[in-house]
Amino acid sequence: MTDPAIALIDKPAIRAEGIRKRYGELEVLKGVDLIVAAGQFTAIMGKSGSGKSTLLGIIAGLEQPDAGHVLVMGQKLAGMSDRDMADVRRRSIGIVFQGFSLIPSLTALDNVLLPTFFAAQMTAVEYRRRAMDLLNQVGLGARLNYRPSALSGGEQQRVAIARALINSPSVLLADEPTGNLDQATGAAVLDVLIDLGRTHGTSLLMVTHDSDVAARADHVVEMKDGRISHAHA
Amino acid sequence: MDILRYALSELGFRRGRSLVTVTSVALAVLAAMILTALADSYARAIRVPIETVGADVVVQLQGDIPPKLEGLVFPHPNALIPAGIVRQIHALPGVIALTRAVYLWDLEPARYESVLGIEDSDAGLAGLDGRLVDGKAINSKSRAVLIDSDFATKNHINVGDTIKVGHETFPVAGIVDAARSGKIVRADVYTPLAVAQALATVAPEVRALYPFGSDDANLVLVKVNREQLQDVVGKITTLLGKKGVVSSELSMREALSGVLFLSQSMGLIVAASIGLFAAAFVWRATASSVAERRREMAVLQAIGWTWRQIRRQVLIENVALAIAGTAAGLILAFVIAAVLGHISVTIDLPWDLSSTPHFIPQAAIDRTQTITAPVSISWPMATLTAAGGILISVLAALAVLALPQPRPWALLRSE
Repeated sequence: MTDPAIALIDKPAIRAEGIRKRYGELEVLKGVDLIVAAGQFTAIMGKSGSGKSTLLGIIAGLEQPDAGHVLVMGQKLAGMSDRDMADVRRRSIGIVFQGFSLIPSLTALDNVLLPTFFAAQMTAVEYRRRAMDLLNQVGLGARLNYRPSALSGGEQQRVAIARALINSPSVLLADEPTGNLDQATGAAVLDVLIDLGRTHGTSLLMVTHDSDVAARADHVVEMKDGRISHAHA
Repeated sequence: MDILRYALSELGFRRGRSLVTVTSVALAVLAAMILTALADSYARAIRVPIETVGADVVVQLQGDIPPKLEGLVFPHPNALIPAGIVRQIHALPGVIALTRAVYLWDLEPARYESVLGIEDSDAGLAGLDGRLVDGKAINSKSRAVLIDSDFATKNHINVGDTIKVGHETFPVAGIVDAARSGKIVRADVYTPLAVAQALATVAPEVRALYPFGSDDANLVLVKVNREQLQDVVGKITTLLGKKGVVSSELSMREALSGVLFLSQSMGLIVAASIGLFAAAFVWRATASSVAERRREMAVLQAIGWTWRQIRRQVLIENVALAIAGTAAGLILAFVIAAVLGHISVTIDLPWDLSSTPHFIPQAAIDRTQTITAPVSISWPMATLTAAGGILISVLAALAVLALPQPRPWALLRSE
């Protein structure tokens, strides 16, 4: 028996059905159904080991479910080639991680441009202009040419947010994005993430254990022992 | 362009590792090129004794030791080569030119001198024109002789003096510096061929052994089409039979094969060892770089790069390092080759190629010849080594990247 969907939505950004995942003897996900509404902020809460990060990885196409399937903007991820999956991630999904995930050898600007290296929706000049705009929007317009080592943790996360949005994805996935930041910095980063997500009309699905963060979400899904135990608006 | 900028940023960011990798590739390329250049130079050096006489093949026939070692005698390896055999050699396919000579030792109780009577060709008297240091050249019609500069100094002989050869006396027309040429046709006294033939014809110790005629020779220098060298040497050897001594680049190679093999094979072995060492080093450097950057690669996958694109990025970085290392190695090799300039090789000539009577004490010294050969790097060698350097680096990187694709989420997840 699977958990109930959190809402009935005509055109969901994400639809996950019957997701199961096992690592050896441990069954981490026990048949999860999840629907994320387009353009809304959904938070997944739960204790450590509840399966919330695993679910996010499967939705991102970075982990394979043992059973069930995921649709992102109507595209079924199961059975896709590495190339097609990479294409979906580049065009439709932006990801922000808990740990700082910038490439240390590249400047803030080049880090933001990384997902565009193999994209062709715009010219190189247009991508560069957009990357500079995004870095301006996250408050780093004066630090375009700084390497990550010269940026604070909060600044690095802002660069990661700009990078996640560079290709105007439909879906923004965030895995404890403020987990490594102090409270004040985390709150500021969260403001940027939520505001930019809304400004760009992006669906935001965030894994968090912080109830203050969840309080700002349009929908909250609580997970326990590999199942969705509670969902509410 | 973006991926190239990324690669260069990455290499600059990890400059310590980049520098060590570039250095190891450069050293491998440098060692391979210098060792090969030295081996080539040595191989060229052993051709010099033959090439400097203006001939590709020197034909002699082993004879007997004269009953008495006095007056004019034929050296042991210079028996009569009948005129008929000479004509057959001249008619062989691949033979371009032929120069006949008569080689004599004039043994007196207090001194000895070597005498070479030779035709006018480039391998003969005409070849000595450029080595004239005093006086004037001679030709086939002359009754005068040329003498070697060392011999002239040692015996205080000047141009205009006379010199006794056998029972005859000849005016000295000029002095030549024959030391710059090979020793095979080096002699103390040079005469026109007809003069030496006439001297040999009446020399008692020659007549005791050979029915030497006025048109015969005991030394033949042959210029051949190099592509047919092996064929011509084989045919001359057959014509002369067991006692024939056919000296060429091939016989020199055979005589010095041990040293040549050692220089070439050791060079190759050392170069190959260093190449393998460099490959192992590049492999190790790439492996540890990839291990360090596993999370970085997972991030790239998460933001829309395929595994193939990531592998290509790492390969580009390795190719850039390999190109830099190879270029540095090539430049260093050319610089070192230019600084070395020449190598000096002392070759112990086979005794039958020596111009000095082998029974006198200084023969052992005179039978060695010090030859300088340029150390140069050929473009085909440089191209081959450069391709090898880059190939080894790319293969080492591919070996690392052939490992299974990592599971990115395991490296990126928060819990």
